[in-house]
Amino acid sequence: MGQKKWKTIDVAYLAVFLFLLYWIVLYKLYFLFNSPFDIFIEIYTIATSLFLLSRFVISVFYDDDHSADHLIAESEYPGVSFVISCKNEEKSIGKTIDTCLASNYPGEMECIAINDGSTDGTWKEMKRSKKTHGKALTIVNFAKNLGKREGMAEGVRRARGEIVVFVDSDSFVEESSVKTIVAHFIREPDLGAASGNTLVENVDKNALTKMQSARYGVSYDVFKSCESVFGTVTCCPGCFSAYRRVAIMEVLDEWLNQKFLGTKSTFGDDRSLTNHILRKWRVTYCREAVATTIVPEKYSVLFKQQLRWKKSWVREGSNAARFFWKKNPIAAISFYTNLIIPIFGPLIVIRVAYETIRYGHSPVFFLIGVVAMSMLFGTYYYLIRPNKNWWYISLFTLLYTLVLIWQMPYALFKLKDTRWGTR
Amino acid sequence: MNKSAKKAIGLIIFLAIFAWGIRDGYSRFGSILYQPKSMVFYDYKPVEIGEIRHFDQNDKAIGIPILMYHGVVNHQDSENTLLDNFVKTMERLKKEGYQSVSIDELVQFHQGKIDLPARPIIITFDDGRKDSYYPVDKVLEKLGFKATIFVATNRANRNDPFYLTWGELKKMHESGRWNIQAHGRDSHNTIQISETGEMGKFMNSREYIKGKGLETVEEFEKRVEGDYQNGIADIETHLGYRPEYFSIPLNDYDAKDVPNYQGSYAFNESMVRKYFKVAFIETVVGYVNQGHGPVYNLTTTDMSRAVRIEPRNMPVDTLFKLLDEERPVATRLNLSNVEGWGQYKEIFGTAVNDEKGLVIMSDKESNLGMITWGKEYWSDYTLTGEMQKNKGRSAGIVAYQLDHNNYVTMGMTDNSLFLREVVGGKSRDLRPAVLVEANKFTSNKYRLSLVGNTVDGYFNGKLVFRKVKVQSTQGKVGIRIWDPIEAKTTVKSLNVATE
Repeated sequence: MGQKKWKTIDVAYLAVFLFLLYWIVLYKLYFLFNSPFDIFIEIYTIATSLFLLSRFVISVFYDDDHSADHLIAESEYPGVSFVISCKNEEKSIGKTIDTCLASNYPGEMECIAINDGSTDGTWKEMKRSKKTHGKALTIVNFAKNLGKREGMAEGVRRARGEIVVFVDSDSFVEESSVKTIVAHFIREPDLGAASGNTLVENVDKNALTKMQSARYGVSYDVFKSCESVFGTVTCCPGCFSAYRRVAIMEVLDEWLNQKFLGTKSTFGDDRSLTNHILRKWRVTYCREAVATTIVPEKYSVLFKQQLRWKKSWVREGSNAARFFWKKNPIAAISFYTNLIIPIFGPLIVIRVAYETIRYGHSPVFFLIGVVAMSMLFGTYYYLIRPNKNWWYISLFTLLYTLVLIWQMPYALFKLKDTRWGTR
Repeated sequence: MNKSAKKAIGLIIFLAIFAWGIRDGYSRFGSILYQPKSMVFYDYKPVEIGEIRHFDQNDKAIGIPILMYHGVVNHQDSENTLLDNFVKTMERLKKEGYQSVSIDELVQFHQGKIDLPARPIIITFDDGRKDSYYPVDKVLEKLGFKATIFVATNRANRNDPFYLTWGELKKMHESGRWNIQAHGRDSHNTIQISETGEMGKFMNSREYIKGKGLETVEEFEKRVEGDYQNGIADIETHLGYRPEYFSIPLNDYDAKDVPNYQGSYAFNESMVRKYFKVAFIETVVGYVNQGHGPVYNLTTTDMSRAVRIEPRNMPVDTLFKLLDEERPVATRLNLSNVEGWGQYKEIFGTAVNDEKGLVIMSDKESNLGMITWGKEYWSDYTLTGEMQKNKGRSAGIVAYQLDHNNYVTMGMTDNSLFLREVVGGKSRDLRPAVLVEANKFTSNKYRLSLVGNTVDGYFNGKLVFRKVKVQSTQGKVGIRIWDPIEAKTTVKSLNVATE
């Protein structure tokens, strides 16, 4: 928010944010000191409140500063290799490759597209694209589906650029984004990976995509910003992230053969790779490097995606838990709190439901609290990025609290099930 | 200065202002935002109680029952009272004409300074729980009752969310409906009382201090007296007045736990007398077939052990039956054919109301007739009886009667006037019998004037027995007749009066 120009509307949002913040903090404190003592509720309330409210404090220190980028000589920009691993994406793969290679980047660029055993015309599309781009595009064909991770690894092995940029086949990188994100790698030698900022491409499609737009916004611009302050971003999403190639090479075999509970890990590849890098390198988030991605437009697809993410979240969370204590103490406390909260979330919801049924206590207060907290994040997000769909975060939070939250226990039970689910 | 440092300073300033705002808003708005279940005022809607029982102005009670509750709750447990039970009890009190009196009034009554209404009641709560106040206040308000709450102050001091805070207590005090009184500070705590880790009560045991052993009696006394002082000081500090009444913690310092210092009871009693005008214990009630302790507080009750009834979840009817059965009756009788003969008890023989008076006849087995009125606790009264012997040798009035083996009696056997005391069934003439000239079958007036254990006996208005000492000091009044074959006496009037 460094050089942000304040408009009347921003002041209004700031006022709403402070208003909500005041009442929520007052309520939480009064609740804590005056409710009948219940150790579980108290600990949960303290942990979640401290975690969530501390996000605002920490993210103040997040600063994606590119004011000195013009001092970097064009010749300093290293080679960049885009890696796109995809399966059955005939409709969008051509466009994705085109937008990557159309980036405004002073250094060398190449693109490596891997067809992971598609059964549609993806390979045909790649070959057509190859004719357009020539040497700048390398295409690889897997005769049968080997999994996204194998595709990504293959791309990294073939990459010649110092920086590897992973892009999903349904994501589109903005023209200047690569230059922006690579500037971080030039300035920070200890940077292993950086997450770009992904917006929702199909935001205007329906309410669900608007919800996801707000959700992406909050998770990038609030939560990832905070992680970035300590250089401990836990997930550089596959849709648009940059890695230092040497950092990947150090862990490539280990990552490729990663096993969890005895089975080979075949999803959550991005989170897993970030985890491997994070042990040794700093990982940050670059707000200014923007890409857009197509998000699920149907609830059924979203649910499957969310379940997959939750499974990888549990798996990678427990892996990261082994080394996170060595990081900055605030980052570590935040990480462990964030790991535990969603596991106990369902218990709170069960409790509210039980009290509603057993004693007739209205769950309205609980839901008002949930909505108020999400509005707090929504308004804060709006101040960072004036997304007119910011308030959909409340709908998403309700959807999460009432429906998606149950995926967590399910995910815990189904951890060993490595199938992707349809995508 | 770099950017981060500027941000940090800005943030600290913001957080300071924010914290100040929260601190300011906490007491102003907190209770609007959130009310725990126990803190929600029960919105009592008075039901149609019907006609409230009315008593004559001159009808004065001679004892006060005191109710004691802990929390008023929605889910039954052994310690507290269900809301429904509590509300029904209060409504019944209202309907039966009970009026709240304060403990100040109890004290004044005890000192003989004021009269009480016909149906006085004192409502009290122990410990200072939130659920003693929130569900109760509206009920008291709508029914016009007042209550006293005894708070163990350490809970308010540490803002225990289950107990009333000083802010709430102050609000209660200012409402005029609640009197906040002492219950000690740490008085309910449990302490270690032996090296082996046995636990005991703060007020009645010497504490075991690690590395030092059992505290000395002096240390015990200092600690316990300190708690009395602390409980008083806390209320003085927060509410601005000195509490004068005390609810004895855990009912007699919890005699269920064996204390390790027997001297603690005497010491606590001395402390209670030193610091408080009135202290309260709970009377034993509500156990089937176990009887019960005193239910009413009388002018003779020891005010350092004023008695309270703890109804918990006693059925409302049972509580009111207890109150009615145990209600003390004024030492007063005015019996005649005109006034009626009231409630009497036929211990021996029978009594029949005749146009000339109450005719008493002996029974065949014991050859006795004995009819009594009044209560065992009656004392210091003048008993006057006018009666005419119809048959039999002996007839007289009875005073200080506890049962058929313990009483004082004055009357005539044949032509001689006697004054006699029966103790444990053994009869003893207090003075030699006096021959009188009156016809043994005419109507005669007997009077016994009893003050403490001293009796004056009058016959037809003349003082016959002067300042005679008896052993008992209280009891009922009555008539006693005797004849080896058949006794029959007509009572014209019987009167009991106090000065």
